[in-house]
Amino acid sequence: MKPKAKDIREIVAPFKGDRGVTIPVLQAIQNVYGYLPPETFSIIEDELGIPSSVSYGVATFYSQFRLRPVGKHIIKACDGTACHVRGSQTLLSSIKDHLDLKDPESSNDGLFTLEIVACLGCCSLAPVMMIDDVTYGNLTIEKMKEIIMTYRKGGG
Amino acid sequence: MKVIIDEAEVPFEPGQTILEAARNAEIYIPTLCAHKELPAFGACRLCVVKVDGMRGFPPACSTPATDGMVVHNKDKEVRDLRRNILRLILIEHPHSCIVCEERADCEAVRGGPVKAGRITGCSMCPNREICEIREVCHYLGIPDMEIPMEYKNLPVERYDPFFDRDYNLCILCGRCVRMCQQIRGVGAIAFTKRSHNTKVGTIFGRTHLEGACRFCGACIDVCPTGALSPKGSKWHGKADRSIESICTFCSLNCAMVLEEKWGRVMAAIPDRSKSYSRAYACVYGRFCIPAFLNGSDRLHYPLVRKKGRLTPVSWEEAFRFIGDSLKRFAPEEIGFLASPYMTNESTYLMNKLARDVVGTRNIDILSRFGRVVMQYLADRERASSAWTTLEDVEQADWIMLIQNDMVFTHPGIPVAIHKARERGAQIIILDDSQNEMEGESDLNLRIEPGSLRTFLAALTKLLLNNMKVTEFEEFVSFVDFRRSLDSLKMIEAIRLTGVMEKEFSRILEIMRSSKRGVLLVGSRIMEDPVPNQILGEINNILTILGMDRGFIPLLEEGNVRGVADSGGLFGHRPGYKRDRTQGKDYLRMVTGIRRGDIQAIILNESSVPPEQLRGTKFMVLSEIYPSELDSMADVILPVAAFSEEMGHFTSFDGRLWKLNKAVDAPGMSLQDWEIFSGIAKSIGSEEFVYSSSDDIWKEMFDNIPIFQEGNRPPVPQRLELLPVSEPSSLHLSEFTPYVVRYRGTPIHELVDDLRVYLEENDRIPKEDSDDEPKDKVPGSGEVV
Ligand code: SF4
Ligand code: SF4
Ligand code: SF4
Ligand code: SF4
Ligand code: FES
Ligand code: FES
Repeated sequence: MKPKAKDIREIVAPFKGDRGVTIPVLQAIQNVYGYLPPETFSIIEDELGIPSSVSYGVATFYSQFRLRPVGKHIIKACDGTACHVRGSQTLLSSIKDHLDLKDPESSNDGLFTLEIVACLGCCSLAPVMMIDDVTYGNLTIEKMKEIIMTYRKGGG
Repeated sequence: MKVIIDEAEVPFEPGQTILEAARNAEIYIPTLCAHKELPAFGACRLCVVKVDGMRGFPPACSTPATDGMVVHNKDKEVRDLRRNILRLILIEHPHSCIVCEERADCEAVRGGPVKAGRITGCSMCPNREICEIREVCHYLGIPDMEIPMEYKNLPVERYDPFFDRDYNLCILCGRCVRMCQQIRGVGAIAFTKRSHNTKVGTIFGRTHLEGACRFCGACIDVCPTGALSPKGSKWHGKADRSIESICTFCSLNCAMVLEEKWGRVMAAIPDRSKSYSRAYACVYGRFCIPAFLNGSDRLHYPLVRKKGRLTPVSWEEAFRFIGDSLKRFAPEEIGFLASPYMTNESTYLMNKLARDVVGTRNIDILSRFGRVVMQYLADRERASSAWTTLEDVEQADWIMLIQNDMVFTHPGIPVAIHKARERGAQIIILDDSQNEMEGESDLNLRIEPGSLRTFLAALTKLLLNNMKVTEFEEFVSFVDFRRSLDSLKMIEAIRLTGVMEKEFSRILEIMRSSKRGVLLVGSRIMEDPVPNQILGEINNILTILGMDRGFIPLLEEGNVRGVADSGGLFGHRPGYKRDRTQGKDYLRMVTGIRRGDIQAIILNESSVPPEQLRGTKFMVLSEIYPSELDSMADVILPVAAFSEEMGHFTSFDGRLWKLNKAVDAPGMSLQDWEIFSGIAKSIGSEEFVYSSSDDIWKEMFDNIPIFQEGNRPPVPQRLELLPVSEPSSLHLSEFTPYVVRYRGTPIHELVDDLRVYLEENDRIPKEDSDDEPKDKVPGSGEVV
């Protein structure tokens, strides 16, 4: 759904006059759009008097909030202890490079959203990533690229 | 109640923390995130102590003290733990300056001036002198670090005016964030992101200029590290002398410490040692004082026009010339215009020179809003009384902001309003245009332009409904007042003001809820062709509510109030003694010049538009910088600025503050009172025998009760109700918003960073230039 400033304003309106509503109001907006559109913060400032940097700070602190629409596929890359030891950091940064992500967020083509998690419960396969419900283990950079390619082509 | 800290019995008040109790007893507990001006946060854990009967190591800064509590502050376990915590903090903080073997010798030269912004090697930090990390390390003894440092390698943020930010030095103590959000009520910065990426920042990493920052510098003043550093004053190192004085750029007169080095004021630091509200301070006072005062154009010599050309002369010659020239005019042809930045002492002498030596009654203050307000109050014998103070604002139950731009004209006051609001005060905004304080308001009434009178009239009518009016029946003009109210139609008022009925009832409810209300009235009421009508209607409202206090006119220039108190106001001698001899006030002087009735003008600042003075035969102008009036002046006299003189100022709320001389004035500049004495002598008066401003003050103090501290009479009871105006949509007078200045020179004319800030906020027109405007430098490139 393409957000309109007017619609966001309508979501924000019921919170007027209450104090300490930053998290609930962000949740309400994310519930509708699946993420927080950039205009969110200035609208909250205008309507509720909460400075935009403050609500932005809250949104970037809690992992439940996203600043980009969720991609079609969610990649959960593990950085738990076992995976970390087996090179998940290198893997992670090459996933980011490969998808051209600046932060653990979504890719420009709207296909992927990257989440970093701590332990997927299959440490013996480390390093591990999960795309949607499918787990891929014993990853190398090459293998990761191949897997992502299959999703790009619409398979997976 | 007492706690026991390392065997010492320490008394405390209920609600105090262990840290507060310890500090009162001068027991040192190392801290990094705690700060006396800020709410506790408990982030750095450096203040951990051991408490008998409590598990673990509670932080002293956020653990309430209880009676009989036994606290261990010096015990080995505590010390080791603190050391380890500090080492962890240091892993992410450049610390070569702490573990260096040459440290002791280095200490002696560290405070010296520097030429480079940020060097690597041993000096990665602009923090030359006071550093809390170094203090804490010194106390705990951190001789070396086993773990190598992890440099965050963040780009230094230099693209904003006034201060730089190097978050590589930041220890995430959150002091700046708490200051900005909780004390200043701005929220320009916040913690962004999480875990390792946590950083103090703005929304999407935008510049502070694009964001909400008001450049008050309060964050810098609490930062324990060198992460935040003022651009203008980080080079000169340790000051030679620190002089307690005030900022005179607005009528708050915040307490400031002026730092002197090499004979100049290099920095001004808000002096919060006495109370926070005495030095709320703002961008003008915190950042602009040195650049404004040290401009290379400051006048150095008296100039006299000879054969059409301004020529430097000695003071003797200048005074002789003025004396001889003035003798050509009749006293009633001479006018005095008083700068609202002059000290009370100097004003007192100007008054004496004008009224007693020259013998003219043409004397008035150069202040658009201040003159009108002070005249209004003085005519009603209310000017001399004690006024509503900044503390009253902080303690108010409701606050109404009427037609003002305080964020730019009195930037300290929003801090008091935030404090009041945190306490639960209701904030009402009454304005015909967008107001910067909207984020802090509980009720925001945007009225139609030109309908302020009508709004106030309607409010008066509603307030009087279901009220006994008998108590007012004896009042002056009550019958007319009543009649004017009876003919006011609410429907008409609602249509003209655009304020709904339910908003009217809300405002009534708030105003009736408590007498501890404050109305802050700004200069934009001058859009009304008869501003006195607005002042009168506000007076009606206060009368009906039975509030003897609560009215605060936001006087703009630094000493409007003091100049009016000291004899600069038309028709009033010092202490508001009526002067009933005929004379001309400012506007009549201006028409007098056009008609030829006024021939000579003596003024001591350049704020008058040249066209108003065109036609004077003789003009003496004292100023600090050249101005557009220079081409008309016959004599130009260099005058000392506030950092270069002694004397008293009276802040907007009627309290007296002392100016202390920090540096010598440039060249031959003299203080105003010395100039007035010189002129008086040149006309043949022998009464001006003062050798210092103290002499003058003594005379004022001995003879005029309002100059004795705390000796202002109480506000007199109101006995007048002014007929309200008929509902109308007024044609507004042309009004340019006030721009903060000193002695006629807008501050931003000498301070480029301020110009950028004011332009970005549409307070002044953008300068046309071919260059890329400064404020368009992109942000730190943060992408989400
Ligand atoms: S300068 Fe003032 S407004 Fe700006 S970030 Fe610092 S505390 Fe906040
Ligand atoms: S910038 Fe300074 S005050 Fe702000 S969190 Fe960092 S160290 Fe603390
Ligand atoms: S803030 Fe600056 S002076 Fe203080 S320890 Fe850090 S680098 Fe050294
Ligand atoms: S301009 Fe006013 S508020 Fe700002 S520092 Fe000076 S006196 Fe204080
Ligand atoms: S650590 Fe990666 S699956 Fe457990
Ligand atoms: S000073 Fe107590 S936790 Fe920082």
